[in-house]
Amino acid sequence: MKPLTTVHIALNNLKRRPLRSAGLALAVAVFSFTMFGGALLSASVKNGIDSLSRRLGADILVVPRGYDKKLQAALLRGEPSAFYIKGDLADKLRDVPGVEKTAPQLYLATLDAACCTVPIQVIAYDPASDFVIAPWMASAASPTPGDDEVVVGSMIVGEAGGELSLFGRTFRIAARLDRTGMGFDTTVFTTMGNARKLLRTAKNAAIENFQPDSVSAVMVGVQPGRDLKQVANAILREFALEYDLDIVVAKNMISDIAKKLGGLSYLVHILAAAFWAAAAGVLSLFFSLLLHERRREFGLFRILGATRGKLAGIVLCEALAVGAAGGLLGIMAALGLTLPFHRHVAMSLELPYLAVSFPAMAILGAACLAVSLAVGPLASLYSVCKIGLGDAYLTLRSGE
Amino acid sequence: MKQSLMVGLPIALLGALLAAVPSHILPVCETPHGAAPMRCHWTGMMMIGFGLTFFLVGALLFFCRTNGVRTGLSAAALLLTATAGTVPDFLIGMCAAPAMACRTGTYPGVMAVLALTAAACAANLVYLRHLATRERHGDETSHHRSHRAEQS
Amino acid sequence: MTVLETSNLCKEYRRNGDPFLAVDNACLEVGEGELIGVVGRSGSGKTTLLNLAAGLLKPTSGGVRFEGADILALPDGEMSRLRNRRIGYVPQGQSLLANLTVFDNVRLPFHFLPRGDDASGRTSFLLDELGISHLADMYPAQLSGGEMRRAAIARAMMNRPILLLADEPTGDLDPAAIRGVMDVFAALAARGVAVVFSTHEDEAVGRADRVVEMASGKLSERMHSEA
Repeated sequence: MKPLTTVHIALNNLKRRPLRSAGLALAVAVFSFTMFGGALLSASVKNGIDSLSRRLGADILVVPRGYDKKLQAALLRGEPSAFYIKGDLADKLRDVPGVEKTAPQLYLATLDAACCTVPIQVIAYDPASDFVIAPWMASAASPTPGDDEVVVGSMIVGEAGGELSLFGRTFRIAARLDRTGMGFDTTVFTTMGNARKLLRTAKNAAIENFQPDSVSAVMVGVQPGRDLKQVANAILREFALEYDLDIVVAKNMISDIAKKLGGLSYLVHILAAAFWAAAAGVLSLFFSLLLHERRREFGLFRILGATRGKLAGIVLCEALAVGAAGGLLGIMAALGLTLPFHRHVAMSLELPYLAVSFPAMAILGAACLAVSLAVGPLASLYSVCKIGLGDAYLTLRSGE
Repeated sequence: MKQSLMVGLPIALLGALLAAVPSHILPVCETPHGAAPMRCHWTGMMMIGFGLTFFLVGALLFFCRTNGVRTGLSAAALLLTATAGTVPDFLIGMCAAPAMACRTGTYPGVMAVLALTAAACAANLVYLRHLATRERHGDETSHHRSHRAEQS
Repeated sequence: MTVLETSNLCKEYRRNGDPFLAVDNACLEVGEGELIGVVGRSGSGKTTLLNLAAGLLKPTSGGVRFEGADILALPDGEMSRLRNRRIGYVPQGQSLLANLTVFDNVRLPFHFLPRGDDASGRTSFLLDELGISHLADMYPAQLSGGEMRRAAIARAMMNRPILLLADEPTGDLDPAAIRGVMDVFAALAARGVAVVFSTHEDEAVGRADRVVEMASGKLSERMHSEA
């Protein structure tokens, strides 16, 4: 026979009114869903931003005028773009005071891939001089693509060793990269040599203003300690007219995104706080009613020798049970939405999005559960303090 | 009435939701003009069919009063969710590219609704069993009471 | 040995702002193994007297001594322990918890101050002794009035008290059930448990060793021949 414990009595009391108990748990669940879901979203976007800033490498990005937004779309969301400027710019930029290094990149957009109607971005780079893509590929233990080889992002169909058809030409997939949470996931990387070979026999490539030595953008690394704005202005002064340029300062791009994240986090926190207050309010009301409704029962407990502490224990146990059930329910619901739909969420947010690791998720979940557990006992505090006051017999009679 | 609502309504609503996911809420990939529909289109059609079936099962559960029939319907619906779950991955399939609309939206939406439907069916089975046990106990109590009444 | 002693016990209430004495200078001594009936009309103060004796109500004046100790001076924890371990109380009317089985209802007092004893064994013994062991797994809603009263008595006896106070234990019961309850009380008294019960029923009063009468809050001994 199971012992008759405080927990047993508390759970029995909750089972007696299943709909009401479910309603209370739901109030807590709404709060924990908002808090955990919002925290996951914010943490994943922050992860994506960190990933972006780690991989961006360059301090300044030089693009054709009017294409700065397209470049950002390509980098953040992998929205394929193709734009071109004269290829000799990369060498000329090295002579600008404050510029330490430059690396050209070529962007191509396919309108058809072999398997599906989703357009993909191709980025070509020079492995010898590149300081943006090459280093993080090396750190990801990815081989440099050789002749007729490509390295694909995590959302491209195809495994290492397989084949990929681009512009009607077949390439071997040298490696497949891990998720980055940014546009690189839907990007195919190859060398400048492969890209130029490809364009000579291109089918279905979106080509505007293309010359044989064209590049799409030049990544600029600035000398340490130099003022980015000054160097950017120097570049514009010298080359804007001749090459019809625009400048994107990487730090500004990232801080703009970070501001959007800040806005999202603020909204999530406000909502979570509002729902916590609502849950606490609902639970406080419930426990006041409970005290009133169960006066006879509590009176009886006192008659049978229960101390005030014991009664308080029963009520607190009920409060904890409601908080635990609601907290877990909300967390499960948030996981149920964010995990399966994470790609959909990422594309809807239009922000870099890299899902947090399971340990980090577990920590967030534990923190959320702790706060959910606290709602019930805090809300029941007043009732718990009032319990058992006064004569036990009067309590018993007042419940009749 | 309360019992009928509890066993029938969730499954009916989830059935309607299942039909709505691939058609309205998280639609499958659009078929390019002049091209043949892709696999995700047919998967979507199957899900609409399954969704309508679950809706009808929910309606039947609502109107049926017999516990045995309700239990049978719930068990059948549970098996049906398992079958439906094999359509997007095995029986028909979806687009291969992870970035396609059917992969990012429709697939997880459909699987989530099927999981909820399976849970609702399982909950029904547990609840109906509990009702059957309570009915048996009620019979024993009234037998006990009438036996006591006879004795006194 | 005197188990319970009240001296000049008074309890004043206010009704529509006017004071009235529900218990007026009540002096009562209860010895070990005594079976005492408290009679009186409704509103005479029987229930108030029992509750004062059990420490469930604080008197306006006067004292209550249990096994020689002044219970009014005890802190809440000690008083709760006393009510749990030494005093059994059967409230008026239906007092079982609806969401616990009869078995759990009876062993409930043990849970409040657990010891190393076997609660299940004691519970089964009490249910058997009161003739309701076949109802152990049932809920109060499935029981008759007499069966519920027996279960409440079993609960009151769970922790082996030396004083049992029962408020109208025979109310709403048929004659056979009243006899059953009084048989239980008599058996307890024979074992040394002091039993004080309030009642309207003559049949119950007739079984008591002593009868005291409450009238407008005043307590007086009734000669047995007047019962």
